[in-house]
This record gives sequence, C-alpha cells and structure tokens, in this order.
Amino acid sequence: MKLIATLIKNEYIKLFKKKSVPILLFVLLLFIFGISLIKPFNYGFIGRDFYSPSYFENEKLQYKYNIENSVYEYFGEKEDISDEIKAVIKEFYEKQIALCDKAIAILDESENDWRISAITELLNMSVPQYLSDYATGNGEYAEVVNEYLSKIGYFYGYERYLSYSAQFKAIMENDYSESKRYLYDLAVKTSDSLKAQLDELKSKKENGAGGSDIDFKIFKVNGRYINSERIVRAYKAALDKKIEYNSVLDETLRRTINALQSAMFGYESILSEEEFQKNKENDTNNYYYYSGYYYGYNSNDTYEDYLENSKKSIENDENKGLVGLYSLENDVTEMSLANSARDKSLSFINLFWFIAPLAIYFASSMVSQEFSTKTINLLLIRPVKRWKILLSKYICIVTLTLGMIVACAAVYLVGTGISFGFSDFLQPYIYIASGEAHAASFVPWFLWRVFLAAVPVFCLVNLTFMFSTVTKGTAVSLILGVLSLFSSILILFFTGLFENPDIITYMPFPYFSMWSYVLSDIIYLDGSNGNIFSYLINADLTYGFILMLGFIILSVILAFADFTKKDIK
Amino acid sequence: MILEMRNVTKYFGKRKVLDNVSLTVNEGEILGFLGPNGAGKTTAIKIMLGLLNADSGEVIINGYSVKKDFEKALKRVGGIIESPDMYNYLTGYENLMLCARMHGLGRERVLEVAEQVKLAGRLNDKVKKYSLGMRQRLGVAQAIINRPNLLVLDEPTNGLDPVGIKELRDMLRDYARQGAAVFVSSHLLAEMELMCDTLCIIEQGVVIAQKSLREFITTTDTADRLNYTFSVGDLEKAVALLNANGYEVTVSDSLIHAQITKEKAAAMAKLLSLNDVDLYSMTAEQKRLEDAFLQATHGSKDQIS
Repeated sequence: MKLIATLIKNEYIKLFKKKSVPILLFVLLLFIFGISLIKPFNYGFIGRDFYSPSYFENEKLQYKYNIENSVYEYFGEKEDISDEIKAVIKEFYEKQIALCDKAIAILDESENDWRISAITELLNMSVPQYLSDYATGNGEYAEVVNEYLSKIGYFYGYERYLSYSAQFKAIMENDYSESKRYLYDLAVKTSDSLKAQLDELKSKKENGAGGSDIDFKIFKVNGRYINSERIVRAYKAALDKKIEYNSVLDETLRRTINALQSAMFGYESILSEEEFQKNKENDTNNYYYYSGYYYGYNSNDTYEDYLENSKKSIENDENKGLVGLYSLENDVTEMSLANSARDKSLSFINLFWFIAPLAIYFASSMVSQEFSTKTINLLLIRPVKRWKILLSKYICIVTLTLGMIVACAAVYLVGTGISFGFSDFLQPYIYIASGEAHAASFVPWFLWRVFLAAVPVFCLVNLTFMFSTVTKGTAVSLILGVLSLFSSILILFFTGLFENPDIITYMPFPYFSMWSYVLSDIIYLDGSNGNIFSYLINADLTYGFILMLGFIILSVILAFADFTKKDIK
Repeated sequence: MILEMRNVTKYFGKRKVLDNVSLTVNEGEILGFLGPNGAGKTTAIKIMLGLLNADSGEVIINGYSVKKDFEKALKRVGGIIESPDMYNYLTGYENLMLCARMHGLGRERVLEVAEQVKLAGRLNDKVKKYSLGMRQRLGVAQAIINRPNLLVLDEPTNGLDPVGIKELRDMLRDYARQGAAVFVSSHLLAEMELMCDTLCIIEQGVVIAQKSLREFITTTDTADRLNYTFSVGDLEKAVALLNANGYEVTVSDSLIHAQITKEKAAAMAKLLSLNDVDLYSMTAEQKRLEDAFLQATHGSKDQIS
C-alpha cells in the first residue's frame, strides 16, 4: 500500500512537472471561473405597451365634453333618462377623467407601470357596461339602473367579470395584487362550473345515460376541472402574498396561469377516436398546432399515437403549472425566471465539453509516453511488479480527473454565487413525481447530476488510458479518445437515418456526452430546458450509466492484461 | 553465483533471437558481454531484467527466478538498457528521487550517488541540458542507487570521454572488489579488454564462448603449446644446444622461436642458463583481443571497433 502511494506520488510529479499540465489546468479553471461570472442579459418579463400622455389628454377632453354637453344618449335612439341615471353616468365620466389624470401623472414618472394598461382597460369600458357593473355592485341607484338597462335592452349573457369599482380602487391605491382579484373570482367561477359539469356527467354515467363516450367526456372535463382548481390556487397564493408588479412572483404567476390554461385547452381540444377518424378523412391539413405545442396528428399516426402525444403535451403543460404553483404557494423562487444562481450553476454541466478533452489529453500520454521516451525500461526493472506500476498510473489519472471535475465544479459554484448570490443555493429544486410537485435540496441534487454527467468523462479517460497502454502511441490514443467523445454528436446525423429514433437511444455513442441528457427532466417555467441533443433522443440515463461502467471495466481489464503480459521491446 | 541464465531461448515472431543461451556471473566478477550489432545482446539483457519473457529457459538472480519471483530477484539489481533515457523535463535530482522512492530511499542516497558519479554540481539542471556523458553518468547513478550486487549495463561507455570511461572503469572495478557482479555489454573490444575479467561472446543469438580474458588472448594450439620467442647472447651455441637436447626451434631476426608447452619453455630456459648462454628475454606470443574475437565469431571486422 505504501509502495503504491509512493508510485502514485511519482506519477503526479512526472505529470505536474511537465509545464503544459499546470498551465492547461490553470487555463481551464480560469475559463470556467470566467464563464461562471457571466450574467445573461435580462430581457425583462413583460412586453410593454407604450402610451403617450397626449392619448390620455384626448380621452380626458372627450369625457369633459360629454359632461359639459350632457351626452348621455346611447344606442342610437333618444331615451328619457332619469336624473339618477344621469348622475351615475356623470359619476362614470368623472371617474374616467380621474383615471386619465392618474395616467398622465404616472407617465410623468415612469413609462413602465402596471396601472397604465389597467387604466386603459377601464377607459375602454362603455357606459352600459359600467351601468351593468354598477347594478351588480349594488350601488345607490342599483334598482333604477337595472330598470334602465332592461328598458334599453342591454343584457349580457354572462355576468361581468371585471368589477369597475374594485379595479378603480386598486389603481388609485396602486395595489397591483388586488387588481388580480377579478381574475381570481373568474377562476373560481370557471372551476365551479366545471365541477358542476363533471358532477352532471358522473351522475349521467351512474344512470347509464351517458352514451358510449361518457368516459372520454369525463376524462376531458375532469382534466379541465383539475387545472382550473390549480389556477384558483395560483391566484389565491398571489393575492395572499400581495405580489408586486413585474416581480419574479408576478412572472411566475403569469407563466403558471399560461401553462395551466394551455393544459385546460389541451383537454378541451383532445379528440375522441370517432372525431379523430372523421377529421382524418375530411381534413386535408394534417397538422393541428396549438401555442407551439403539437396537439394534432399526422396522416400516419394511429389514434393511439395521437392520444399519447396529446397527453404528453398536456402533461408537459401541467408539470410546468405544478412547478409554478409550488413556487407560488411555498415562497420558492422559480429558478429559470429569476436569473438564479441555481439556474446558472446547472449550465456547468455543458462545460464537460471542455473538461473531457483535457482529461483525455492527460490520459493519452499516461503510459505511451514512457514508451516513446524509453523511460519504461528504467521503470520496469525496479523490483516492483508491473501491475503495481500500471495501477499507480491508473489511480493517478483517475484521481486527477476527479480532482479536475471537483475543482471546476467548486470554482463554478463560487463564481455563480459571487455574481448571483449564494443564498439562492438554499432554495430547493422543484420536480414532479407522480403528478405532484416536490422539493429537494438543490446542492445535493446538483452534485448528483454532476456525478452522472461525469461518468462518461471517466469512461473516456479509461478508454484513452487503455488505448495508450495497448497502442503505446500518444497521438493515436489522443485521437481515439477524442473521436469517442465526439462520436456522441453523431446523433445529429443518425436521427435522420432511422425510422425509429429510439434505436439511437440504445446505441453507445450518445452516452459519451451523457451530460447532454442529465438535465432533460428539469421542468423550467420559462420554457427552455435541456439542449439540442436532449431533444433528439430520449436518453436512458440508467442504461447509459451501466454502459459506461461496462466500458470502464473492459478498458481496465484490457489495459492490465496487455501491460502485465506483453514484452517490452 | 549472482546471475545465471539457463538455456534461454527467445523468438521474435518466427525469428530465433536467442538460442539456448546460458551464462553465469559470480561475485566480484566483471563480465563483458560481447557481440556484433544485432547479435541479441539487448534481448538477453531485457530477458535478464524481466522486460521480455523467455520462450524457454530461465534467469536466476540472487537465487530467485526473475519470472516467478520478480520483486525478490530484482531487489538488488541495477541497470541501464540501450541508453540511459530519463525524463528530460525533470532535473537530475528529480529523476534520481523518482528512482530512490521506488526503493524506499531518500534525498541522502541521491546526493551520495550524485557525488559518486560526479554530477553533484549539475544535479538541479534539467536533464535536457545535460551532455551525453552526463546523461550516461546519471544513468549509472540511477543504476547504483539501490546498492545493487548485480549491475547490468548496456553499452555504458557510449558518449563518455576518455576520462569518463576511466572513471567508470575504476568505479566498476571498485564495485566488483566489494563483491558485486557486473555485467557489461558492449561492442567496443578495447574497453572490454581493459574493463573485464571474463568475456562472453554472443553471435546470432548463440553464446560462442565464456572464458576469462586471459584465456581468450593467450594463443594456444590443441596441445596447449604456445609460440615462445627467446632472445639470447650466443645464438649459434644456443641453437646447437637446444637441437642437441631434442627441441625443435627456428631462427629468424636473431631470435629463437619454438612452439612448446609452458613446462617445456621453462625447461628450455633452465637448459640455456646451465650452459652459460645469456637469456635476455623469453616471451609467449599473445593474440590481440580483436583477433581472438574475430576468430571466435568468424565475423567481419566492420561489425566491431
């Protein structure tokens, strides 16, 4: 044991006394540290509408004119309008003027304020709409207003969802959170109505009156209902937390709602087998798209394919929604939206493209160089068995690779912490398991992913070490090692060759850059995850792990068998 | 006996490189392993030190089989093979420390051997800056670092200047005197002649002879007779006397020549002295090693120098 330790020490001395080795390692660490400090450009979350004060000035003039000239008439015909109604309408005009003044004052300070678009929304309300809102809000003259509305025949088939007075109050008090309340109310209504629909369908089924497709109908409504409930929860969490405009929470809410609504739409638009076959016969356009996601089918798809793909798309949306909901309800900053240290640290995985070639380079000369400089002769006539010599070299290169990865990861985490704040690492990683969101401590989870990502690096190092031992040529081993690494990008060409891309999943070469796939199961709320490779194949990490381990064992056996048995010519 | 090679045969592919080679080296003996280029010298050394596997036969060092008991057999062996290639980007000191550590030795021993090979002053220079002679000395230093009782040196005088060669020779002699066995391969006859006690000649993988140097260069015929030359005062009297006593002699250049055994030569000298013939000198003819070598190997003169 002591002898092996001495031999390893010798190998490290031989390696590090070569000038190129410390220089390359230093450059690598510097490069990685530099990358870790780069902050991505923050585009801001919401596209802004641009309003000039003159727009509100003009609006104001219009309302002033209406008051001065007693413009109370609507719907073409002249009506007898009671004083009460006139008073309510005048109040409306005055409120609109106040809103214009508010907008002008706000624009004086900032162009990017949530109230501007909210004010615009209220300014677009017509008198009858306002009156309807007034009536349902039980204002002083509610009864008179109701009468008037029925007289002029103004009925909306649905209840107004936007409460003018509540929204007016939120704007005046600059309460962004409260301005979402009407959306919450609406979500509750939607959810209640879907629940009623669901109950009805269920009772129909119990009574045997639902028809043959009752289960499919229940499936669709149930899916929508579940997600509508989630929307309610998301709004509730936002209201409870008093979210602020353009905050990460605000953006989380927006994306969560989008994802959940997208899932609801997915359930709504999914076709039954009968509808599917009918569409297939009639439709010349074989593709259905919805908000960038594939919900449709092509002419070769069977209904099972279509159903599976659609469910996958829905699940994708649902998972995003669940991650967002978990963030909202548990005070977790969703990592992809916040320029978080967590999100940034994940991109370390891609730097294995730089670490691996360097490790291969070191491994390529480990044994062969002793042959090219003929120092092998002096090394092997010491009273030390050959396997011990090779073992020391093997341990040297493996521990060097391990050290490189650990040092790179540490440097990267430190750099990320410096530029994004270390406290973010205390926030969890959210993942979905069996349809529910769970949180895991970020750092251990991250390290586990780094370990998985590092497995192919060790495999490549083992292969190159074996090449170096067997061929005794540094250049040959280097080329073979690097070719093995870059064989993983062959999938870019191979995906077109096979009718069934799943075959590629079970070929060994994609796994030489397994780091390309270790993050593909992360659910990012901002929509981007993984990299180009993880879109091409559905990599099986367990399979990859076993495969890499197999290569490692094979390489070790070959290297030791060759080195201990063969003549040193 | 420190080193024994027993019937070692080695093939490279189908070519027989060593054919039933046997040789021995004893304590205190310097054996010169002599042969033309390509005779199998380096192959034999590599088998001796375990770098190559023999197809048959075995090598015993200090009582242990190199094949079966590698670590024990090589424990007290030092060597240079082909050329003393070291890590050029390391200093002499670092190179020697690499070797020392493998034997469980340290800094003191490194400085000691550096002193011995007269490299102490340049120990902290990179080996790539060393002259060929210095590298050779560094090679010797790494070979003796573990105080071996068997030194195996492949062409150790390559690149050494005459002073260096003399120093090496003296050092090896010193080593041998202390009881170590030294195995030196070379194709340089003159050096072998000066350095070695015993010579082993190999040609085309076959050991032709292993004899002491004296035996090699002494010219004897099948009846153990040597060519003696006598220088005497009274040539005619001497010839007559010798002829009368039954000795067959010839005369040329005023010298008497006779092909006789050493016993007879002594008797002849005695006879001359007793009969008042002045005997100025009596010499037995010696072959030059070169001739002995050529005679033994039937080789061309171009192969050796």
